[in-house]
Amino acid sequence: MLARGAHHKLSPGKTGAHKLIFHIDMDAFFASVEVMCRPKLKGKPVIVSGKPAARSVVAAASYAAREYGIRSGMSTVEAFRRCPHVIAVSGSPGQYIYVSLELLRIYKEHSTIVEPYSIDEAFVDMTGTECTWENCKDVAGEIKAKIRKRFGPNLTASIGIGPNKLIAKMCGSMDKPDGVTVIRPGEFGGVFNGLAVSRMWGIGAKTEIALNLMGVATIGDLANFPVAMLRRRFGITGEVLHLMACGQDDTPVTPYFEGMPVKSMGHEHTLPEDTWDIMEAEKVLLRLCDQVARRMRKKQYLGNVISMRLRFADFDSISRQRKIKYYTDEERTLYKVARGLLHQYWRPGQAIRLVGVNCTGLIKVREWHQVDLFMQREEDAYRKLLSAIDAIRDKFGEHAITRARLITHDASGDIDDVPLPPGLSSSPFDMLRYQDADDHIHTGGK
Amino acid sequence: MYADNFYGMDADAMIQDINESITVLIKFSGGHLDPLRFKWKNRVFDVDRVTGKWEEREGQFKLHHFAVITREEDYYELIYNTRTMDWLLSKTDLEG
Ligand SMILES: [Mg+2]
Repeated sequence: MLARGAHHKLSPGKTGAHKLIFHIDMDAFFASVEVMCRPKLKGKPVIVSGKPAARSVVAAASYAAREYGIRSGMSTVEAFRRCPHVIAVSGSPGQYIYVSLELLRIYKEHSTIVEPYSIDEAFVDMTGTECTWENCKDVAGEIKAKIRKRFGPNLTASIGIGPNKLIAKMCGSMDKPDGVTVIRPGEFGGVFNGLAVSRMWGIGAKTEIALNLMGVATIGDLANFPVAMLRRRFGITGEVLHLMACGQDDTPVTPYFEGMPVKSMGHEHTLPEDTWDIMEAEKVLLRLCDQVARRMRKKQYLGNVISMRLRFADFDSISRQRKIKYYTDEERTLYKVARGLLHQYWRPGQAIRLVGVNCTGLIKVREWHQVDLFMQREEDAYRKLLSAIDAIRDKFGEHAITRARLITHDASGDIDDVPLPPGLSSSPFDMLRYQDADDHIHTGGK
Repeated sequence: MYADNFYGMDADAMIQDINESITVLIKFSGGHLDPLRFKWKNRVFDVDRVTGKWEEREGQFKLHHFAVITREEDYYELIYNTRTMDWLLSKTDLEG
């Protein structure tokens, strides 16, 4: 067993020059869990779709079902049209959450920095652990073996290993199911430059069309395209697109509880007149922090991720967040962090139009004891697991999964999933957003 | 049901809801709870292996779900309710 990376510290803003990141993605997760429970389903076309009805949607499809062209996000009616003998299972959300948390527990034996990205995907920051570029494939094999020992042969994972989250995520889908892919620093361009821009993590259909119209067809084209023109077309996202096409990404792996900002409390204020005066912005920020902290106390919430948002006169905006080591509901703490972010990220000459402050990573004061227990005590793993399930239930509600599905379905058509700029807080549904990477973004998967 | 089959879709036709109370022999160890044998309609079923376990909350109480395969290789889903301290045979797979 590998030593735990106990010395990890989150240091936002620091670029991860020598990071070693794993992206672990379960293969056809919900369908595989069903096969795990009912081994006779193995090899058969299985979809998890809730109760089949005119408007239900495929949440997951087994690989046998995919051979008929069935994909998650497709309507159940269409799935039956493509394969009349497909087996539609209503699914057990409670069980998927349970297995998901058990998996996180396995990953946490290898590093303390584990970020659940969706119900069946996680990032693990292996930097500084005994895992190195030399032995990372063996470590991946060790993780797979643990999953097999715990859940049997029907639940497999595909693991991507890279120097940042972007590359780990993108190479994770190259060898599915049950694969391991390693892309070392400097190898990104050689592997990805020739591929279509749609293969980039986070580039949706609309962005793809917009890029194609600009003459950008491949990831290499995008990397070489003038940043100024991308910026003109996409705003600040243009710069993110450029960096991503170069394989650059310094967003930190954000462990556990702050990875699930279910609720957030925040306020924004549009200034009566744009200002170049940082003191003016500070004053507004202080008042906003006061309002937010008061509301948190009233609703009995504590939070540990504080973000500051600025919109400039040209309507560009930035949002930067920082995690603190403890939970707070005090305005002075909110202000101290938000003001620090303001000074760090505002550039003189940028006229400020709007200021906002937001607190996430919220927990109820009554849960605090429970979370404290969860995060700090090493013994009694089973009880910790239970309290984690409770925490998720309390936060997401029993119906969180259904709501997440609606969002996934929409996202396939209506919402253009342009990547969030680094530091922007993620959607409340991230944890439970279920889509298999090989289904949606990287259609080139097996 | 016609409503379900209208689109030619069967809601997992092989799975049948049972929801009947049963008697269960269980093993407690290491903070875990495992069914070993259960009796339903005067027939005894030996659990060969537990293939899935999960929990759902009902207020302050819990429903412990168990997916089990019997010695005859048949699939059953059992639920232990901590409020009523009752065991329920929730589902079975008609084809095993
Ligand atoms: Mg997956």
